[in-house]
Amino acid sequence: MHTDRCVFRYIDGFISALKSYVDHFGALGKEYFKNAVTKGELTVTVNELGASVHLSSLP
Amino acid sequence: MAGTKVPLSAYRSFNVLYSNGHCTCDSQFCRHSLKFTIKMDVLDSIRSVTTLHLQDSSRRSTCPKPQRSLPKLPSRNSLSPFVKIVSYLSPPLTWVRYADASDLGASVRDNYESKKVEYETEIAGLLGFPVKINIDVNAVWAYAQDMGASQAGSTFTGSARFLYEAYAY
Repeated sequence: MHTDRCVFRYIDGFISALKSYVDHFGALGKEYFKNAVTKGELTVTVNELGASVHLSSLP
Repeated sequence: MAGTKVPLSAYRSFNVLYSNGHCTCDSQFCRHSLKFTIKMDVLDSIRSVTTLHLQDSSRRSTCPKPQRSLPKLPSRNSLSPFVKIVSYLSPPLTWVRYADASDLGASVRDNYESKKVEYETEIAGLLGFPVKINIDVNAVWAYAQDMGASQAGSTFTGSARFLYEAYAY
């Protein structure tokens, strides 16, 4: 696969993973997911700190 | 929505699925420039409440080096008074090349805005609660490297055509 033809698909990717998750964990998984989400919003934002910070350390 | 005990393993399972379940190449953007988040509070039997951001950080190991570095914002203190006022009035890094502006607008309208409700409905159907999609494409697209403005909208939503192209090569 040429990397220059590879395209981000954030929302499709999210839905695809969500389908796999629901298929695998069923109603209980959905319940866990619902209880874990504190704000039902998907965002893609600019990380203004750039490469100077590890993403996992973001608040 | 929070309050019930949620096993950390459930969060990890979804994070792994999200990270590995779709195209994992972010060569089109500066490597560390974006974060994809859905905020979740995870209760664990050992720790107390931990707020985690579901994000695409695990994909970095597969990414090529960015072809240009992340644009640096000048410190506001180093700017002239006039530029300083303008910089406070305008949002940071929401710039688009003039020639691409109409393509970008059309692409965002046709491939992102028009599909957003459809995607939100699909997610709500899967999860059983509403999830709003809130992406400021204009702000994020400033970091795209080698893609034309006409691809902006579908870059965030995805489409069968791009799916085909991504895996055909």
